[in-house]
Amino acid sequence: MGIRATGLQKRFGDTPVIRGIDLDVANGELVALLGPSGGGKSTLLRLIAGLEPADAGEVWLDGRRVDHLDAASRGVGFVFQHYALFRHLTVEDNVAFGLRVRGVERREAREQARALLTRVGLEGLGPRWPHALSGGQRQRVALARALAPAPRVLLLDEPFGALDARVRADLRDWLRRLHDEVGATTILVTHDQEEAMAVADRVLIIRDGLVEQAGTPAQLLDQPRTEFVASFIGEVNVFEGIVGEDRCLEADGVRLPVGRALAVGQRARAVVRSHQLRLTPGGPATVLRVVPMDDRARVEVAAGDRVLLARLSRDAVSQAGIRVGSEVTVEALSSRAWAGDGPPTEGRPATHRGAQAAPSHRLAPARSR
Amino acid sequence: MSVRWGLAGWAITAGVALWVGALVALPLAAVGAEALHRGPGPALAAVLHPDALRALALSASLATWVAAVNTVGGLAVAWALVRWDFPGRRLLAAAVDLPFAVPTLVVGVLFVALLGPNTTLGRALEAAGLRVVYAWPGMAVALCFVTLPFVVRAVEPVLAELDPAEQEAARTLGATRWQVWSRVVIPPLIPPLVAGGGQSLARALGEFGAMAVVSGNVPRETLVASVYVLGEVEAGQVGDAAAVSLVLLALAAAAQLAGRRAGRWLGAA
Repeated sequence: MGIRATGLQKRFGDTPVIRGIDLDVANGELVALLGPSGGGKSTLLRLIAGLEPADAGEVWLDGRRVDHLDAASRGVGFVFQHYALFRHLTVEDNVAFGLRVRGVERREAREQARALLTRVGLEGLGPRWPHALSGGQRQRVALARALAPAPRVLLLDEPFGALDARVRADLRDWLRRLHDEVGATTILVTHDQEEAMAVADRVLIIRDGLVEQAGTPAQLLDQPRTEFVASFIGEVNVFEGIVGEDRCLEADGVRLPVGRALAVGQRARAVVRSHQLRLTPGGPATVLRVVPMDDRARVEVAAGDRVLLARLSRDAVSQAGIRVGSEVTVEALSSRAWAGDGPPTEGRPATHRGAQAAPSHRLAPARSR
Repeated sequence: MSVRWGLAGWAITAGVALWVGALVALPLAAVGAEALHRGPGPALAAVLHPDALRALALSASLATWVAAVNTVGGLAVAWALVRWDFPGRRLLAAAVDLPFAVPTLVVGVLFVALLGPNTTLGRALEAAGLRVVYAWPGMAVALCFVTLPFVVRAVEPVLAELDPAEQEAARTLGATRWQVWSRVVIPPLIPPLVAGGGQSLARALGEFGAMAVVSGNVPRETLVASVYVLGEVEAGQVGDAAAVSLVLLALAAAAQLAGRRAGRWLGAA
């Protein structure tokens, strides 16, 4: 049931874009495909819709195998990033299109189209032309148009990518409510992690044509399987160094407990979320910027020759007297470390709480995001 | 965008009105006056003269055929230029504009040189029973050449703007390939097709240079209206020439206007 794909592969010329993807979306579920651009998420969606033929693999929609069918026969609703409304048709004729091509009589089709427009909050805009609407309204029209033939499967390709931040946030909450009402099985492609986390039941991280990890938003945040997932989601600091005798990785003046799985002397990388960094007054690092955000503050700290990001409550910032130019010590409350492509190890400080010391190893350049 | 409507604005508007008026309206009025100053009777007689009537009918039928051929052929050429990338595409794009640059009299000479009775090709066609130059086919081909760019240039930008995602959207909505073509691709192309076709029609109606050379100018057979008008002027019948001109003018203006109107009405957006 729902959407099922196995062993999907697709190459464009010599470039493999989808390199073997299995996918299982339950009936009525909303799944987001999240990942960097060029990772293959849009292509995956187009393979499911039949807009591109797959080189290998099977696609099942609602228990029916469809990979031999063309897009017109798969019965999916598809929404494009740039709306793709028919510019020579009015809004209501756009929505009615999918009914008209199925032979529904014009008046009946228009009536249903108007009802759908009301449902997406665009009552009375039926006689307008698409170009007379705002971007957000156009995308609602596109969604209404996709829903008109009552598809069991809805595929959304970066539907809010062309809209400004405020409209995006409104529309995605609205989309989630609409999805729950309509009950179609939905896949949403996005490169905006906040959007994916806010809307989806489950998120698939797609990278280089493969599923890097699939899970609920909480699972991805709390149990990232790879360094890529850990650093792609949320605001993080990435450290690189060699595991010391004390099972700590020491980098940029920060001690990072890495647990038992990594051998002493092994080179490893550790990911620390910005809210897992703690700042205490006095020390080798210097505060560069304090950016207030609601009840939290984002603090940029110069440590060694790089900048770390910490996210603290604003109360904690004022209590510790942290302001631009303050000298602080940075501690990690928790981190996840990877050696090469191995599984992650989780570390939390045990006996020493962030003892401060100068770097004992020459460090490879690390990045933060 | 609105401009502040100062004294300079008025002066410029008045200047433009005067310029266009002197250039377009005045000669048109003069032709009307010349045709009708003896009263409507002689003017009507001039137009209804069998030679004049046949010439006008020939011009009108040729122009209609040419407009129709151009509408279909122009769409095909524009499609090739926009949608396909093939060796020589740029050369073809430049060639499409050539008819506007070549003096139409020269166009006539070109076709006589290619298909005339003393050429290999012309002799071969004649032997096959097909008279091209100094006959209807040659005239039609020359007119098609002269008016080729209108439809191509009108359709091209609209075709380039068609979003392939619209066609994909139609497919996912269940449209068959034919429905995608007839309901999504063609409708936005109709306004430029009609407008370009109307321009072709208007231009073909009045074409002189190419026709003077290619048609052979046999009265009641291959003599077109514009060449007939020249004959009347040379015979000193300026009033009769003006009367026939007026009819040509009215037809051409109607074709152009109808094309634009229909285009706008069908396009609606």
